[in-house]
Amino acid sequence: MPELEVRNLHKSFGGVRAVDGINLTIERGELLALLGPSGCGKTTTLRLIAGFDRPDKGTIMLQGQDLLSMPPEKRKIGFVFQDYALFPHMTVAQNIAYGIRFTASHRELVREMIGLVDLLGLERRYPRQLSSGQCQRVAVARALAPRPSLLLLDEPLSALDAKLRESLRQEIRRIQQEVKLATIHVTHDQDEAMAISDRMAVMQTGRIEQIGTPPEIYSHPKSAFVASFIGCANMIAGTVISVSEGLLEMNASGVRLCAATSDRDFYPGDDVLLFCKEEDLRLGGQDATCVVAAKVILTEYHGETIIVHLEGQIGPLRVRLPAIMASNVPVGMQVSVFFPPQACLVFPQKRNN
Amino acid sequence: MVTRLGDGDHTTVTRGGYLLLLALAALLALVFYYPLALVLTGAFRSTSGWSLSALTSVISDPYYVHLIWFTIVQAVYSTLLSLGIGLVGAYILTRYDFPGKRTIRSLTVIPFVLPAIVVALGFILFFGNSGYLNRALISLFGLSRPPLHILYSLTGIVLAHAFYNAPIVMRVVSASWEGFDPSIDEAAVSLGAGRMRRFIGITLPRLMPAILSSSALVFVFTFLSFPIVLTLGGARYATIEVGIYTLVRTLLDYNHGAALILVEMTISLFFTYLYLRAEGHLAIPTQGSRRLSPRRFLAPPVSVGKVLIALYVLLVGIFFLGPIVSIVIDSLRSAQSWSIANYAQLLSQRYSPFLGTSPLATVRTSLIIGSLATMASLLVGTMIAFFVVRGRIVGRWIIEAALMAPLAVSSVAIGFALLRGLSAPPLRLGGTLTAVVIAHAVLTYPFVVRVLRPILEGLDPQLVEAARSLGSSRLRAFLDVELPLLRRGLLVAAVFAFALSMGEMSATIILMRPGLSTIPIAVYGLLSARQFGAASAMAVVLIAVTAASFIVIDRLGGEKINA
Repeated sequence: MPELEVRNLHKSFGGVRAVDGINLTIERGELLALLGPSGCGKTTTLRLIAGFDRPDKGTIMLQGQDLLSMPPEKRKIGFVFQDYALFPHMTVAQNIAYGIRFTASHRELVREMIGLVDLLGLERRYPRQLSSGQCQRVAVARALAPRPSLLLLDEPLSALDAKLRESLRQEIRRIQQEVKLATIHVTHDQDEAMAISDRMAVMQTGRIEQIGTPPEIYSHPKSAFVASFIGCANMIAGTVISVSEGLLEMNASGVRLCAATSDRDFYPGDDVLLFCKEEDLRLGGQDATCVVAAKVILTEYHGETIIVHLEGQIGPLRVRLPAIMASNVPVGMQVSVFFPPQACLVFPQKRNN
Repeated sequence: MVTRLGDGDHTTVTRGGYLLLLALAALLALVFYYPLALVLTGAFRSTSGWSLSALTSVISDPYYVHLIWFTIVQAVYSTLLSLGIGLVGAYILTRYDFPGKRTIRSLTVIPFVLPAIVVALGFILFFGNSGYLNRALISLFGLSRPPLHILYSLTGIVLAHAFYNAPIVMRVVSASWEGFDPSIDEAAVSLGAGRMRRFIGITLPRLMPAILSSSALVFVFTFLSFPIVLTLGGARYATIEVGIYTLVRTLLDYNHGAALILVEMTISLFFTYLYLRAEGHLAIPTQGSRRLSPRRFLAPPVSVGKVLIALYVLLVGIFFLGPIVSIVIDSLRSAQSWSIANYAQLLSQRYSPFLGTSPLATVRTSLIIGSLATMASLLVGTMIAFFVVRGRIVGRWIIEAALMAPLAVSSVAIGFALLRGLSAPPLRLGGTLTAVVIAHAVLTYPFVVRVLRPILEGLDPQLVEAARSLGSSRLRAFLDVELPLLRRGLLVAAVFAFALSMGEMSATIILMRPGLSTIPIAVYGLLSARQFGAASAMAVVLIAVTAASFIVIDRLGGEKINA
């Protein structure tokens, strides 16, 4: 039996459907990342599970118990807020102790928590005397102290700078695995989602577009939205010319591009979008198909690799290359860019988009 | 703290929220709307039944027309004088640094808590024909007769109103002015604008919302002013408030009284609306942006401007301190010599014909009313503040206005309304102390709301959610999280409510039955009987309450208080 089971969850605010039929299950010890742009309903989903808002429709079961009949304080759910919501009039220790202050062993438990999140020596400080990274750890410790059945993290890292974000997300993952806790982590950062989750759910306008392990989603995005959101940088619009033997040929502003596809729902004349990741494009190639002429506009240095920005005959392109290639692509150079059909993904182009 | 964006920013009203609103509505209906409605129907009645005669006579009879006209005229003059004094003060506060600046800025809160009857007494003692100012001028210049005849004239009323309201202008305008980002002015300099052009073209338009909102506020205050006009207007000068008081208390003509209240409310509600609109346009200083850096006033060079400023400070200093110091001196004089006899009298249990009771009983009554009214006011004010800040509900704007309505109704009118409403069923509280406590609570809770509201707005609602996800009920979360964080605000609000109640005279004088008296009413009674020493000792008690409350408010960050 899954730890958490959410069925057909709906919530509207003044006619706007914030959450529009969400289904989710999470196993014990699993971390699910809820990924999506701001306003997609991910925070609302979290608040409905926590009980801060009431859903219009749907069921939420935690360990086989119906949560909807319970007020938030009875649900045994730990919640970490985006801007921490630490009690400003309480010390670190008092904040962490708040949820367990009526239990006999709360002193030992607070000490244990402070050790777990590595805040030794800061027990008597007030939140205003802490850095934002430290506040974040207090917020996690406070949520974990009552030993919840489920942990909800609402963009807990978004207020931190890039470096701290990376080290803290590893720490969240470590702690979550140590206490084997079912966890939902809301974020709009796909790197973060992929780095720490067992499974991730990509959300758009109140619905889950795709749910799966990070490798599944990265290599097999199911829709144009998921493909662009997880970082397929090169998107080209075109029209289908032919579909045969798993190969789709399309025309994009006079250039012929190919994509391997098993989908049989494409017909000649359909408007489609083709995606290709920046690391999959190749420079060079003489074939008449799958090659685009382009000019180097700019190269960006990223340590091991560089990203070459190109202005192609079909719009802007980005190609990732090993850094040692940098001298081969001076700005202004004319190059041909090869789109390997096996690396290209096609999706129908929705007209209303 | 980072502002939350996106989809989490919704709060739904809970069942508890609706129950709270219902309870508040029922309470306010009972002690405010029902009594007010009862009184206002009187405007459409005569002794023989329904009739418009009271209303038509109020807007056509030369006596009433003159009353209304004079009320407006004195309010306009008072507003202009307050603006004149206040704007110069705001300029000095904004542009210069000098010793005691912080204290002076804090002192501008005093008009909100200093009872008007104290100001009236101070004016009589200081500006009166045989007052300290005239006596000083006579001995200084060897005159035979007092040179200044200020009291019992339009001038006296307008001056007393300026005493009261110039600090409000100063407070509102300087708060706005100090928030200005100097970069805008510097941009104008870089574009070649001179000082005058910059002031007229850049600074003045940005100050306009502050000037307009403080003007509207001062207009409403002076339009509804009662104790000052009652005491300083003499027999010749009366305003609508005094007219209502005379009709209700002396002539027992409730229908014309009600008609006058209707006219008065129409005008004051219009200006209250203007005030609230202008206040909405007040620029909120963005944190982190640059501020004007004031110049040191005492640093060289000496300029004509600085000499003029010093002269202004001297005159305004005499104007503001003179009346208060006069009261203190007078309270210490008895039979042409220094003595504390007036204070000893305060503790007397002997019946005084001017009070209708003993001085000690008067002080005790005031303290009892003040304490009870403060508690009631805090309770209602806190609930309303929570509703206004946290409640998300259709038509919230209208409900909010309805909850804050007592702010726009004059104290005399509220007193009159409660006199009728509380004497009628279902309460039957006419003439009791409870009636006065209710009146004071109704008059003070809007101030409690105004103090608590910004604090509550700055309080992250997620703190409560955090507490609840950690196992606390809504009530527990309130006690553990919101209450401790609101403690300072609650203390300031309590002090405000207590000081206002201790000094309240307008509604009290209408509701009080003979044999009961409060300190302000005692001051008025003693002053009318020319017992100035005894009146001053009573007034000093009120000054002490004002001073104590000022210290508490100032210590707890009164600069942020939005009264």
